[in-house]
Amino acid sequence: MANRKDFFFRERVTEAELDSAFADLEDADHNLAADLGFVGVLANAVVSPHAPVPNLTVDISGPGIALDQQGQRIFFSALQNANVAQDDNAVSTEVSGDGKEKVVSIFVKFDRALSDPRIDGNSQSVFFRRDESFKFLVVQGAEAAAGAAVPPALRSDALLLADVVRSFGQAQIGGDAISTARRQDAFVLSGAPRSIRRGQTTEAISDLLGFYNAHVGGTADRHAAAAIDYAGGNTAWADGGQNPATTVEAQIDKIVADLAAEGGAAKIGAAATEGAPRALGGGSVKSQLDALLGFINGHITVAAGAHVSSAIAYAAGGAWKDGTANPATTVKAQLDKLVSDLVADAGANRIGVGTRTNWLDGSANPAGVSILAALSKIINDLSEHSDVADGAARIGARTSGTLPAGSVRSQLDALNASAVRTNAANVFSATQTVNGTADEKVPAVATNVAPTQPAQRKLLWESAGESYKYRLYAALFDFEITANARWDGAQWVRDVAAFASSKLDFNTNFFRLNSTDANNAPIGDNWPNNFTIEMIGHGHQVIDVGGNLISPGATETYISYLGPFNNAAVGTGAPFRKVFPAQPSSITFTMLNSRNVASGPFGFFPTPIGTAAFVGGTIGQPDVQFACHVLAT
Amino acid sequence: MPIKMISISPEPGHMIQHCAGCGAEHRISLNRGAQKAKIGPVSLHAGDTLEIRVDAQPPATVTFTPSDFADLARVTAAELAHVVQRALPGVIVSEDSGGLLIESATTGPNSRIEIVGGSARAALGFPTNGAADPCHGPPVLGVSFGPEQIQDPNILALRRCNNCGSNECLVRTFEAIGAELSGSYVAEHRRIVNTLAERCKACGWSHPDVAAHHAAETKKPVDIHAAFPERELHLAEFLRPAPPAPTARPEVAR
Repeated sequence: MANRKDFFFRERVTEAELDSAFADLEDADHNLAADLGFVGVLANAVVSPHAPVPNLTVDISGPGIALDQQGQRIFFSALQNANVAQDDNAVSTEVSGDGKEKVVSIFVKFDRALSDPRIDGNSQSVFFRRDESFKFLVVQGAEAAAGAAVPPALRSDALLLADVVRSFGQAQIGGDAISTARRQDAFVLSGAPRSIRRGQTTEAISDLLGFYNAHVGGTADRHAAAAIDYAGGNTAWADGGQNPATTVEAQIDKIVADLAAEGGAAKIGAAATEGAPRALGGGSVKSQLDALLGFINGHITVAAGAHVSSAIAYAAGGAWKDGTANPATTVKAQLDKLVSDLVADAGANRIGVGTRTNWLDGSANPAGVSILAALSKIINDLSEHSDVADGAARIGARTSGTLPAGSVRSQLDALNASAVRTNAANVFSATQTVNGTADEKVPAVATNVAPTQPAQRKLLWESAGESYKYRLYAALFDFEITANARWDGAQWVRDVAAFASSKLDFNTNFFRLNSTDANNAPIGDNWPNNFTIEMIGHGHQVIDVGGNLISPGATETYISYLGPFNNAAVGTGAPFRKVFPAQPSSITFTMLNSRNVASGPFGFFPTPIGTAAFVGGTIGQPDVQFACHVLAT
Repeated sequence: MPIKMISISPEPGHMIQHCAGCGAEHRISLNRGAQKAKIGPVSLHAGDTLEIRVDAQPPATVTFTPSDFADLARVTAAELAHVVQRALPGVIVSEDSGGLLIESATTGPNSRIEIVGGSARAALGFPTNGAADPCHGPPVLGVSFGPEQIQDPNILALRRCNNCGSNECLVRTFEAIGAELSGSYVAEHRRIVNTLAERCKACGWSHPDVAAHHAAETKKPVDIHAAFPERELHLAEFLRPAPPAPTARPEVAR
């Protein structure tokens, strides 16, 4: 508050005492402003180009409120205008030449508006009312080169509102010529990144609050990380690397650098992770990555059993050619389905085929069908046998002998014109060579129509002689060659009645020559003459060059003896009718007739060609007689 | 082929002979004398007799009476065996493949059965002209008409077949028969005969006149069955199977 004057009762108050009281109040008011530090423009008083048409004056917005350096309140209510064409000393502020400039400062100063003149006791005119008022001061600085002009100095008795740059030939003061850099607002707080230029306390505090909120909220004026201290970490990286104290900026850079480096993963710790079939032990990200890589490589390179196919999903796929769907399932189920789908009879209908080459006759084989359809088409195409659609015309055939290359049809047609027919008689006028295959075991010529009844025989070959014919027959069990004998189904008939007939036949049991006499009558299957050599059951039989029959079978002979008996054994020889391959082991004697035979016969000294036979005679008898059948085996 | 089977079971063994003359089968015991009548049924007359000498004993006479038989005109070998066995308890009498077989109960060189007389001889097939059976004793290896007479150490004579009168001489052979005949009748019969002959020789069943010759032998037949006598031998098991004979047309009866 103010110093007081305590006017008292019946005091004659002097002018000075009243003026002093007012002065004390003004002083208190001024002191308050000074104590609070409020000096400068509090509101408005913004200098702007004159409106509506700029000129060499400027507008100063109102109501302007300011407190000067002495704490005096400066106030004007309405928009004001100041002429910057001349200064307060009426000196023109024009710039003398191009490339030069002046700075003209506009100050606002406290003034008193005197009014209500009165005559005091001294008969002096005294303005009773001494209202607070103002006035603008226009002060120009020295002219200098453009950009180098120095503005007028700030005053201690006025407040700077703006500096106006006057340039050569300037006719208007524009916004770009007005600078408020030195404006003396009540709150001019310079700083970086923020400064405050405000008149009112609330405005300044509001700015501060805004700056703070924006800072705290991170919408503006965030702290540079380099401006924030990092006290250092108590815990090292997982690989033991340290993090000493530094700034947050540096530490974050260090973290990035540490982790971006090749050893970054080793710096990050990782707890043990349970799992099956594999688990990860505690360590660092690097150690666990290494372990995982080992698991993955081992898994990828495992030769078998990596994954049960039933554990791998198969997303649904496209349908088969026949529309059979392949819905989502497991890989195993789908593989099984693939097999079953293709193994099924409908399998071939599920696989598509593209365009195939045309048949030899030009018939097309288009795409867009299934394998089954393609196969069916092949069968149908090759089965066709009409005049307009011929399977044989679709199949190629290379040159074969005298047949030129072409189609099966063309070659069949060529063959038809000249080939031997199996169902028609063919006459060969040239020697025919029939060699068959190179395999000597395979017949060159074969007849496989065989008789099924004993009286049947197949005439294989008939060759004409001069008068009668020679024939080759295959009977049920016999192979027969005849001369002048033809089997008519029931009997043998001669070609030429005047000649006899003969037949050679053999089978697995015997070799036989048959013949007839010159008899006109046909003969049945019984030939009157035959010579048979039985061949089974006797082993090897040979007629040697000397005409001897050597055979292991039984043979018979006949012996007899009639002669004197001198009480000693008598005997004879029994030559065999054939030659045994070795000495026979059995001689059987059957006495046909005997006289005076007491014992025997016995065989003696048998050989392959015969044996001796002896009998014992009756003692005392003059002779002995015997006739004996001998069987040797 | 005469010899069908040889065996030593029961001891001393026996053979089955298939008569080459008539096809009759005869059991011939080894080391034991025997005689066999012809295959029945036979026709006898009441009171017919048969004189039989067993070993060195005096002959015994068996008389056949009608009461002994169901039909005297068709007497079976079994009926005859019953009668003879009753009359001669010291012999072994049996029906053998349809014929009466009389065997001595003894074995050895003196074991013999001789039919020396009786009116039933002709009916039973026994000779009546005095001809001796070439083998009324045990079968022996070797034949001889006397020590100074003709002999053959390789002949094994069997008793007469009284069905047809044939007498069989088995021949021991030393040379090997060709391998190509292996399995044939001639080859396999030789082996069985040689095996039987060597068995007789080994057991001392040699004709006395050639026993010394046998004892001096250093060679043995090549074609022989080494498995005998441990197992009996059947000729049929060694024969190669005959090929099936196709049905032959009866072109000409041979």
